[in-house]
Amino acid sequence: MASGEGSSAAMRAFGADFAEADCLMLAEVATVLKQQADAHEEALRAGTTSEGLKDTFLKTLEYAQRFNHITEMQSIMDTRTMLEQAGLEPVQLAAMANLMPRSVAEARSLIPSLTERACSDDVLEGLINRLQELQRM
Amino acid sequence: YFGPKLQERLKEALHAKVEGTCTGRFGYVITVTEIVSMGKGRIEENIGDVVFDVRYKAIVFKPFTGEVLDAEVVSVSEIGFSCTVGPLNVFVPHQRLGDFSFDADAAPQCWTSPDSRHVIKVDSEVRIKIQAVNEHANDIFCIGTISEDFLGVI
Repeated sequence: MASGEGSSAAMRAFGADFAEADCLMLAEVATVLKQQADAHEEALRAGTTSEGLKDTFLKTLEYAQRFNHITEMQSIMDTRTMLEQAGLEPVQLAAMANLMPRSVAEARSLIPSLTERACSDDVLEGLINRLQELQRM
Repeated sequence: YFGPKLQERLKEALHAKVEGTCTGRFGYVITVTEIVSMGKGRIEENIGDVVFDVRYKAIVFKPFTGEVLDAEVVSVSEIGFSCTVGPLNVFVPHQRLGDFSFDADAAPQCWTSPDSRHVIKVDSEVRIKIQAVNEHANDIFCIGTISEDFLGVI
């Protein structure tokens, strides 16, 4: 999922419109959508709206909650910080957090742009281990 | 409409207009997250409507070829299975199911691996790779595969 700011060569593959966009992890999407769903619930109760939530929104919220691996807010923030500091591109960052590969071979197979040049075996292994820990918290 | 609640009305109108839409350019617009600016509004001659240029940020979902995604199976048949990634529909044809075979007699019908350890049926979770993205007017439809390393039943 892409939104907001940031820039990356990988994002240009999506087209010029996405050159400045960022990639969200499922954990972040779930958080934002849940907040909006709760606010909408409040608005319904207060009578300030009578519109329902769109199908696309509800399907995405359900999907993000079902397939997200990182539930604690602090863990979500730590995950983003860690992956950004490792120099991962937005698309790679989101893919690592969403797919949770369990080995260097799996990570490189699922995310082809994550070459050895982009991220060494040692660093990648460290990220994978730390992601497993963050998932369990 | 043009009194003190103008800003709120504009926000509601924006949400109603763009959320849930899907274009080839941006993919699915899931939700508006921020309104960056609202113009001053100009009156349309002869009609009396007022047009505002609104700049906003949104969460969108645009799949790309080669992307690996987790998906929820929604239907199974002898020609393959359909699954969803949020609002997106992906079809995985039988030619892309590796050595899985269709069990028409099972209830419910499913695809099973040779050693019977893995089963693909409705509500199964599968890891797929997008092989083709077809953009229609209001929708995107994808073809996927599970017949590569690290893909398949989760």
